[in-house]
Amino acid sequence: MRAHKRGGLALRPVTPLDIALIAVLIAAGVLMLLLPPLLSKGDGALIARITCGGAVYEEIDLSAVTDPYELELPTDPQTTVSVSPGTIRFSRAECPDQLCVNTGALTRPGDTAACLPAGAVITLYTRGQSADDIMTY
Amino acid sequence: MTHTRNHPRWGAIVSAVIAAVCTALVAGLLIYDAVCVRAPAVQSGTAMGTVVTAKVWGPSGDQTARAVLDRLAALDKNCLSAYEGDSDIARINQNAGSSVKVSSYTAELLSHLIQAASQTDGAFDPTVGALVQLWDIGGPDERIPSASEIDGARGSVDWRQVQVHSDSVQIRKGQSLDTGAAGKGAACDEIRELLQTQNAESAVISVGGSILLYGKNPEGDPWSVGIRDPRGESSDRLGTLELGADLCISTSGDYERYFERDGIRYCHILDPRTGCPARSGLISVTVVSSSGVISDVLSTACFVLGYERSLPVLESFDNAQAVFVTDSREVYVTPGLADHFTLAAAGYTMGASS
Repeated sequence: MRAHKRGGLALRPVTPLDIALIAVLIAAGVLMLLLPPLLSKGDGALIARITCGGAVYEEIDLSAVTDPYELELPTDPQTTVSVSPGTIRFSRAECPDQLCVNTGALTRPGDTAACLPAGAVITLYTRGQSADDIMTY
Repeated sequence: MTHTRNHPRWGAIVSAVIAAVCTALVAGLLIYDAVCVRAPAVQSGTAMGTVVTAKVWGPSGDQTARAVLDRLAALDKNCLSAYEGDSDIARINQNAGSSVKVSSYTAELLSHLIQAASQTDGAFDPTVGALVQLWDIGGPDERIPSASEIDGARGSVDWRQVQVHSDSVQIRKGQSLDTGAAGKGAACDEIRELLQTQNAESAVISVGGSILLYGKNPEGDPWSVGIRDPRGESSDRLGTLELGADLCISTSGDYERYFERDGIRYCHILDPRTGCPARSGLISVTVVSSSGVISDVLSTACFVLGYERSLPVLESFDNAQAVFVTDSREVYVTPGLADHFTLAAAGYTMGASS
């Protein structure tokens, strides 16, 4: 096979073996990009912890919520929480200052809303992947 | 011979590259499908006054998971709620002293509950409604009632005076039914039937912490069920149960609803025999059974009875099994679960099982 000269460098012609090698390298590269995210089970569910009177009332996996719903908390004054996919907020409260409602939607770990007259607090945190399928309580 | 015969067409090179990428994509998808379990359809919402989570594997997982919540809402509305005006239980309570027409479901459930009350010698009693309302633990009017108030309410507690027929129920005037200690477990049994009709492959359902394990774990391992640490945060585990298919698990503990006065904790689990919050030396009981309603009823009854007196009762219920946690942080496991439970939380010790 004669070498093809360009600019002083000697380049040999591309052979079928070269093409096969390039194809294998590209295929391997694509697999390395595709598989890890596909195989990863993911972690870090967004959890909303609702406490009333200092005790945990409920913990909700916001990542698993698909349809919005409301939750009335056992507080005095009365408070209502709206739960939606990935977000939670005080939607109604009978407290005079409405600070809890005005806080708006909580969406990120560390976000907090509280109704002090009612003693109700919502805190968001990220939970690592649990080894359990479910928990009984 | 010219040198051009030694240079394959660029078109052929491009075709080879495209074929390689497509092959890699197909191979990647095939590997993923072979190695990974399809993610379940998950629905989370509220029903029966509590949070419900449904994880369902199967061809119509999303539809089935939604149907779970709908079925529970209907069950509560039509049968179990003590507060929904049209539910069977509410109408029975509103018409105490008279015979009330009910669904066959409600009649059959109450029949099971009366039987359970008998087998637990009253440690579980569905007629505790008046006591529950009196204490109102976890509600806005929670308080310590007077002794005379407790005696008055306790006078209405007597499962023997409930008459259950195939389509009607009658309680004595002044009595009040409360299915709080059995409703979530009963709901699990109802959902099991739904999953069968929906041809679900596998499912994990939580109704306020009462669990249904339906079918085998798609990953091939035993189901892993965490038990909440009674003195930890709500996501803290006491330990883990590794269980097979088609079981129900319920837990009763003193940490869910309670108030404290002068350093004494008054939890929502009432002893029907004393009219007061149970004090048996336990802070948590988890019961495993093939029946949801039995697991729920027994978790309450065992919490009332205490560890030692629970053991013969468990045996009488088709060998139900349990994990007990005492107020001195000892953990006792019945023999049938000994090889399936692993303690995880610090501060607890495994007791020597009887």
